[in-house]
Amino acid sequence: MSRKIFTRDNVQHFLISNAVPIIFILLSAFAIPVSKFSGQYLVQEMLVRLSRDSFLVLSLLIPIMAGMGLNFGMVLGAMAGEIGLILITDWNIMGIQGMVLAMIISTPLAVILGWMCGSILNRAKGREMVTSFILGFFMNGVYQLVVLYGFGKVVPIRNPQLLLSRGFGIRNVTNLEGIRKCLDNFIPLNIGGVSIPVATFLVIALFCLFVLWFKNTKLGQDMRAVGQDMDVARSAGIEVEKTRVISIVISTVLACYGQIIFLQNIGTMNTYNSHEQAGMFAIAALLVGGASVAKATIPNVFVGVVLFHLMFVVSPMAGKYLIGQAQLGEYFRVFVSYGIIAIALALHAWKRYKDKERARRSLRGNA
Amino acid sequence: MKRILQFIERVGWPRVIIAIFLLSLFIAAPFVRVRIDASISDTLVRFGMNGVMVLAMVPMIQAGCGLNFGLPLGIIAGLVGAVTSIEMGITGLAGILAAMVIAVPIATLLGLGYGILLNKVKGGEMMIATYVGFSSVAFMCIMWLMLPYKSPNMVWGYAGAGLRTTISVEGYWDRAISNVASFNFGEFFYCPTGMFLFFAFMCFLIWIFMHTKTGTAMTTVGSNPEYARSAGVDVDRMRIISVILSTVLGAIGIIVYQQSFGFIQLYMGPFYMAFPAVAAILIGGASVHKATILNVVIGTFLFQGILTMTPSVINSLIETDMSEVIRIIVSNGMILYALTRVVKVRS
Amino acid sequence: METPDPIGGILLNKRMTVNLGLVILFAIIAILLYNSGKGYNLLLDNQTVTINGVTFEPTGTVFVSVDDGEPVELWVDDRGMATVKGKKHVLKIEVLDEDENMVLYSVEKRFSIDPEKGTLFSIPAIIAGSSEWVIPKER
Repeated sequence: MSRKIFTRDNVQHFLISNAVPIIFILLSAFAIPVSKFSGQYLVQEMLVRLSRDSFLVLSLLIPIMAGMGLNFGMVLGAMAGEIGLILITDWNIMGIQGMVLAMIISTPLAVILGWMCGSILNRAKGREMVTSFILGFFMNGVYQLVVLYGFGKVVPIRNPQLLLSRGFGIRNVTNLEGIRKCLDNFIPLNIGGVSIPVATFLVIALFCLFVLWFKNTKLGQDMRAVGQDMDVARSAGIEVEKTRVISIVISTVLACYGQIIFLQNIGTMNTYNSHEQAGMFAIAALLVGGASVAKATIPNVFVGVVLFHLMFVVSPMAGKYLIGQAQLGEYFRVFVSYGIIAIALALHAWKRYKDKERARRSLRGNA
Repeated sequence: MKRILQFIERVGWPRVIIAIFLLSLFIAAPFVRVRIDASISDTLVRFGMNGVMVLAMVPMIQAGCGLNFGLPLGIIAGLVGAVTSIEMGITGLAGILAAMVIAVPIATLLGLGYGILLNKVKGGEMMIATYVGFSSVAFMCIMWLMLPYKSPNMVWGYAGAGLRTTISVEGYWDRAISNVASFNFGEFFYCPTGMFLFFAFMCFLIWIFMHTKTGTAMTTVGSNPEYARSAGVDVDRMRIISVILSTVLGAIGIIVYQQSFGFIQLYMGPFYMAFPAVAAILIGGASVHKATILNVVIGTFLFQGILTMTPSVINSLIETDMSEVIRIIVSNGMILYALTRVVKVRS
Repeated sequence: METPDPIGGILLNKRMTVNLGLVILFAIIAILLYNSGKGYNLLLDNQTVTINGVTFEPTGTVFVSVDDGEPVELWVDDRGMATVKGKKHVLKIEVLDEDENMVLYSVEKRFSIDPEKGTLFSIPAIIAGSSEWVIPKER
């Protein structure tokens, strides 16, 4: 038996199954020199973005394992985290205590929202992704209702800097100066002019270990079984509905923490917009990293974040030097973000359809 | 009492609640000093504006392709037609005709490609439709900047190239359709009869089509694909036809919308335009698998009615502007409700 | 099913007890975080002020620092501000001589913020070693 690794079949298979990341690498290799960014700048940027966005992308792994597809409902977790942050800003809790306190108080909210999302998704089996997508929009409306009209009236807010001039409703921009970079700078490290947020990476590493451990617990195994085939899992005695809901709850809570980590790095919160992009970019990044709707691994997360954000940072400048308009580069990256999700969804649905066809044909006896 | 409950069960609680809500808004209007005639006029105008785009949902739902979240694709074709018509400088109804004549072939082509894609991904149409719509809008953003249009009221004055974000159609075909046989009643009431006539005409065309051989084949494909296949119907071809029809209606619909609105919105304008249309037809009684023209009419009226009345009435009542939030909650809530309805198992 | 064990008359099984314990643990952590993380704005007055009938006068220009931070120069009738996190801090006041170029002596005060009393501190009162150095909030 031949021991060659680089046989034609193997190379072909590798290229096709990793088509998306490869395209992105090629695009970046072309665009980076055009954009005239220095290597050190890009390395620093990528480190920052890795530390900032990885947690959010990691929260998508568990629903994929449980067969729920891409959890567009992670936005709900992000909203819960933001509400926690608004409250600690009002109470003026600073530093790492503020961040951890925000995580603690928003956890119950995230659990409730996740449970609600999971239950709704159970009522829309086969259409989970569209449903969670629309649910995200719907909850955005509810969030606005609560934060724009309830905060200040029903929920007491003492700090007038947070409120709009009319007396109730949180302002468009919430200043998180108190907890800015509190986790990043917790253990500072500086190598050759590049500052590395050690504590944040430690948290991310811990979480990766958690995911690996979780996969081998009974609950994790149950989820994988449910993800493979719901009916087989049910006949094996697994409570399918409950397992699915739990996977969404975990994802929502992790998205909540991920959004808090994201915002502590930036230091300011667009009260009504920050969470919208969170879901979309996280999902796009995961897909760029080579994940599919049915399968996602931890390397997908990190590769995806780096490649996606590389393109993100480089496009406007590349567009400016290539065609003369930076605006073009910005539109290009929006196009790529959405296009990549469309392609990934199409590939997955096509594969699933082909599998069904094959199964049906075998049932019919090749009629 | 029991018959009323049965009726409500059949119609669905959300629809009843929305209808009652709208009715109460109309009743409350005079008490909060909102002019009833202006409100009814606004509602009628918005009804005509959006009607054709909601109608665009029907073919794809009937053919089993799900809710057409990819409506922006058709809208883009319509935008290209409209912009080209202004570039050529044609005014009045002729301008509208020119826009449609340019838009329809583009929409057909786009619909063809879109339909072929959807055929390969049966079962996951809605999500892919959404992102195909999004990507195409983002792609057109690049195009609007680069296409060689020159008309001075369309391009950025400073650079001399690249289309503006919003283009006024005043002086070209602003209200060209609406004004046909329109009438005013006092200062506040304007009835855009022309738009209603056009909308009724389009509904009529679709109604006839749905009762032709192709139309009934399409409906069969949607409700029972296995039976359709065994009866000799080319399922894939029917689906593509439904997608093309939907896209073309979308293109026509946006032209009707723009002539009433007065502006052409490029770039990110069409981004979310599928959602109100989807919500409207669902409010009108359609489901993910079945839609009738009656759903379109009722749904558009209810949805646009709420959109018109809520800002004026509730803002006067509570003195806060809650309209945007209510719009988001109502439209997305309605879609959510439709998506979570249990589907009866088909053999 | 494990046999439930009664606690305070309410039947709880082992899982609920653990859950309850966790909730209480997190509540305690939350309270600790709140107290140790809450930011306060200290206002440091170097003015003549009367607290509870006793009048204190400023000694002159002083350098004030909180928790080994940057010293802030406060002239007579000046007011300085410091933002601190948590309740327990150390205030160090260095009193200058008449020509303002030599430190005569320094006063260190360990204190704990009482939110009820407020954060308006009187430097002269602290220098004088008074037990009441917080200027009461005006009604």
